[in-house]
Amino acid sequence: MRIDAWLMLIVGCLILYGGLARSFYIAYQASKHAPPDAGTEEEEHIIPKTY
Amino acid sequence: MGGKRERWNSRAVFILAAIGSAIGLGNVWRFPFIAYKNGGGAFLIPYFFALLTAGIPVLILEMAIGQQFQAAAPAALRKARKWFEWVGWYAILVALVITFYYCAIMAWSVNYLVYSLTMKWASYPGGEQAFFNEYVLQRTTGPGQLGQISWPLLASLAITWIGIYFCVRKGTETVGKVVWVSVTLPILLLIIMFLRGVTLPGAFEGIKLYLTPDWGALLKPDVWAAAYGQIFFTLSVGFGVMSAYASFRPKNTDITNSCFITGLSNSGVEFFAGFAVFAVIGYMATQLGVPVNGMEQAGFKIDGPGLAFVTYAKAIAMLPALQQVFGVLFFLMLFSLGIDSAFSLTEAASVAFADKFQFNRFRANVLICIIGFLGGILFITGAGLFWLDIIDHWMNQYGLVVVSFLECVFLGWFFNLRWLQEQIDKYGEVKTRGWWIVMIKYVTPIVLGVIIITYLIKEIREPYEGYPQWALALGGWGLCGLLVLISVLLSNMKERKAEVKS
Repeated sequence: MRIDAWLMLIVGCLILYGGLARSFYIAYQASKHAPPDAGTEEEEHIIPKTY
Repeated sequence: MGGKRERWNSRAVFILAAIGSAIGLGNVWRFPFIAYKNGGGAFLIPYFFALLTAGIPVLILEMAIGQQFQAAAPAALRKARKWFEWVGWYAILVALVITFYYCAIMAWSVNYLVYSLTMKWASYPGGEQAFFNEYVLQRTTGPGQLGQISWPLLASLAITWIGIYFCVRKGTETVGKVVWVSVTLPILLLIIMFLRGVTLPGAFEGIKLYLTPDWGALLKPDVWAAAYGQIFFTLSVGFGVMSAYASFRPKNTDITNSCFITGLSNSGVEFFAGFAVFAVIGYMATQLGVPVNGMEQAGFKIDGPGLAFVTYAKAIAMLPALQQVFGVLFFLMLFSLGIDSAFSLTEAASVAFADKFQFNRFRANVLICIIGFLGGILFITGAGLFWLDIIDHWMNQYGLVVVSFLECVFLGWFFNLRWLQEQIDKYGEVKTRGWWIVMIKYVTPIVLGVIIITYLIKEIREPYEGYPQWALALGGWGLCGLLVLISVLLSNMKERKAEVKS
């Protein structure tokens, strides 16, 4: 296989699976430091009438 | 306020459901072919570009409106601006029509799963192509000749819809349980098919064909259009599914990182599926003594239903051992890939009708499954494949692409997008900041606008696949026009308010 084909294989894997691993890591970290009200059922918020 | 809105059991379940909706049959039979035809490994560059500049931003937009307005696409768009609502209904109706024929394809998979036990296609006179056309589909000569209903396919269609009904029966409660199996099982089966594929002689030749870059392709506008098209077809955007699913998440939870996980998982699966598909194509080419890049010229389809039900079926019959086992595993993989996409489309419609008319969700699900079954009968007649081809073409190109375009234009230019961005960034694990607004307001609508105009010019120049004009007018423009009309009517119907519960 040509060297540039190997290169694209590595780049593809890095972006897709590396990106996915990073997203999972961010989610894991965020779950440890979530704001106290995150995920709770909050009051209905008002959509601003400015649009 | 009416009763409390349904909720996913956990964030993991929500992400799994979104991934399950995005990953479908196209990941196996569309992406590898599109990549191979549009520059091989070099295609990954426009593909990633399209994913980050259009796919994920639109995914965030759809999920954000669902989550922030706590409603499925039509009601969410109505809450943004009353006159946006019809776009949401158009998305839902397009999704429903797609479910009709998607379930017919799943019915083919169910039949092939049974045929795998005896490898029925391998001994059929005339080979796999004849088996598919004559025995399975009982195909006629054109869309004007409906021919007969295939009774085995009718039974499989009923099984498929019963399966879907049980998946969506209690909304998020049942979907939340099913996705643990329906998302992981096809990935596991794909890994098995990959391992079998890459250990076959000649597999590496196929993989070389898949990955070898043609750098000149990057200069062709068609290749970039194909990348953007692939991203829109693969992510389940423009159907209202993601808005419906996100509406079951509390407002003060992350949406952006969930979109990245969904988008990257979907792309990761289709990139991986390319290896499983091309390894087998390499093996077949070696066994048949055909150059690996000459398989199409030799009469083997390497995309769409032709890849799954003819080429792959033949490859399974050519395996040195355990043909029945791999036949069952492959068609089970196809069925499990399809079922979560199919029930997500059903669920989106059910939630949309429940939000607007306060329908009982149980009754809405039953009704949609019955309509879906009846609507799917057209696609299991002798002319089913022709109608499937025509309607699929129009629903994809003038359904979901147009919906995504209108969502970006309407919400980007006639709504306070900055407010939406602030809401999602407040709890988002990945901050969208300015780039998301730029993508939604400028980049995505421009790209989609160009794609839609290109499609229209192509349509005017030559009739799609040489079908008769009356069939294209009926199943293409006529159907799209009818769906727009129904969408406008539904959006003008009076909303039923939820009863106040003490």
